[in-house]
Amino acid sequence: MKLETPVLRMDGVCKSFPSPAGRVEVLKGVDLEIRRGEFVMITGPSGSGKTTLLHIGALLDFPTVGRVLFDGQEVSGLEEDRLCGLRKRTVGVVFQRFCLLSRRTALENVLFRFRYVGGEDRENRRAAVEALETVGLAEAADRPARVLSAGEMQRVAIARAIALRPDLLLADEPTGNLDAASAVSVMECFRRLNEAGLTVLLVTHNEGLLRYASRHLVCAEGVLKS
Amino acid sequence: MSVRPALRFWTRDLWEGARSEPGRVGLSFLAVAIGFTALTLLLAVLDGLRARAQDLVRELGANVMAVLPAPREGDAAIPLLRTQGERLALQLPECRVSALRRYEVGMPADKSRVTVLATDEFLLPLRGWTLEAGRNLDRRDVQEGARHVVISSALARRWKAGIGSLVSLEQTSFRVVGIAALGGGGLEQETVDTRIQTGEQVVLLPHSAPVAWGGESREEIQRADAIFVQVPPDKMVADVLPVARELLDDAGKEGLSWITPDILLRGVHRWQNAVRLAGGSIALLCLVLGGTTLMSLMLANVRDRLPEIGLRRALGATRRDIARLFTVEACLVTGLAAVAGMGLAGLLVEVIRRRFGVPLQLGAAQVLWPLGLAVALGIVFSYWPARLAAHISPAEALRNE
Repeated sequence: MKLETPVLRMDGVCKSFPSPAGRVEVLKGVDLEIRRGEFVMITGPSGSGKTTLLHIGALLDFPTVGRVLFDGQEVSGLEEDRLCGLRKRTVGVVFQRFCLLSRRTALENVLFRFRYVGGEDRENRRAAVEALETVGLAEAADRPARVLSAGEMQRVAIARAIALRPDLLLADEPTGNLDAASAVSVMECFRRLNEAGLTVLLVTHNEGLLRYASRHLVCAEGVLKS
Repeated sequence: MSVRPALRFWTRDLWEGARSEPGRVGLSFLAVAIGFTALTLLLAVLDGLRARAQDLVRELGANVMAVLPAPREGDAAIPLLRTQGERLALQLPECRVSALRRYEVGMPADKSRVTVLATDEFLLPLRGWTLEAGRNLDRRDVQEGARHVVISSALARRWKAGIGSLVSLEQTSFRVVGIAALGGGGLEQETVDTRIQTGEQVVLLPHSAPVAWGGESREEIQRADAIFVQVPPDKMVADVLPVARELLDDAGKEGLSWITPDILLRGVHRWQNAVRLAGGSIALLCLVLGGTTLMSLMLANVRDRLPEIGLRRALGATRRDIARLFTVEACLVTGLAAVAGMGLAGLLVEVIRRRFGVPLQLGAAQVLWPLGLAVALGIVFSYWPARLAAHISPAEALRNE
């Protein structure tokens, strides 16, 4: 039987950072495999290495030791340009504090996804509007990001992340700055996207969100456990 | 990337970059603009002096030197004789030589004075003066002492005289055979011996014309106030000068003054050097100060925009893209500051030129130089901040979110 290639795979990933007291080991040999269509949630206390793991998965950082394979292709040793090319189209990232450009409208923020991709103006706009519709914010397209509520901001950030239909959507504490109602609407958004076939990797310290995940992993002291 | 979205993205990025810290951007803009005002003014002064130097050389004549009796304190000057001019012409056949005697003649009709230059047919072409109408004095006029004159166009206008008109000088009538445009009066007193200046109200007549204004004797009429020697284009004045000096050695080494283009431009060159040194230092200082302010702005911008840098990297921007963003932002500030500085300098140049008559000049070079320098300044002073921004790891930038 032919096994499907995982979207993301990490083999023995270690990550350490320099500090005045010497190198700090944040990840200590992480093995992870995320298959297409999964909704994987990693929980763990602050400082456990969740965000570092997510950054490595989002191709924003490199492991000190170990291999990272994206769609079967090893990315650890890729050149800058090829890595950026992968980042452009294959991953979408949602951040805890939204990372929106406050002076721009919701639509312009989503369009910013195409900043380093290019494409036709009309096509980009159509994809951005569609992404906003997917997260239920079509009517807020022309509102400046700074006047949106926190929940709306996070949904705009999700629309930006999915506008190019990435292979993997990664979210770092997406409900960390939201009230309970907004957190639910954002998580419902993730669930709908996952149901539509998008693979999701979400890290959070909020175990109340586990019901949305198809698989749950725990990160503790740099080690990942089922 | 298609041109339109790329342009749209760039415009938006640059506009937001400039608006991110309006105070800081404004300060850098001001500092750089002051620097470019100083630089443009310096270039305008230097170009004005260069044009002035060209005017002076044009006034004297191309490749021309003049010899005059040296002024002596107490003693009378050793006279210069027309025969010395003839000797030069004979010994230097490749050169064009012309002697002149100068008279100031009163005009009783309007109580004005005109400058009369008693000379030969060579003075007009030698000094680079151009005929506007009629003809120049010719060999026959000089040999026969014809009562023919060439008058300056300014005088022709004043007298309403044309070719064939009769003009009266000291009760002697002369027929106007030519009207010439003389120099623009560029040989000013502070830089050049006044004896080679002509002014605008000038009459040229053959030195052999039978007139003796002021009761001068025949010997005195043989005296010359100046002899002009034009060196052929393939030779340098400096090469002919020692030979000519040697030929007129009978007047004594101290007896004659020699005016060459080099001597004529010595004063202008002195000014050019002084302006270059003083003005250049000020302009350079202003630009370095402006550039340093810009660099501090860019560094602060990098620090404040870490999350944005992280976001851009997460969306696929390469290090080059990030460096380019900051560099183009810096070049935009310096470019616009240069345009503003040049605009202000242009205004100042106009005011100074009109009110104080200082010879300032603003040409294409004074615009292109600062613009080129603005871009260079933007690149140089944003290099380090841009490099710093480009080398921040995206994960590290996003941790500052």
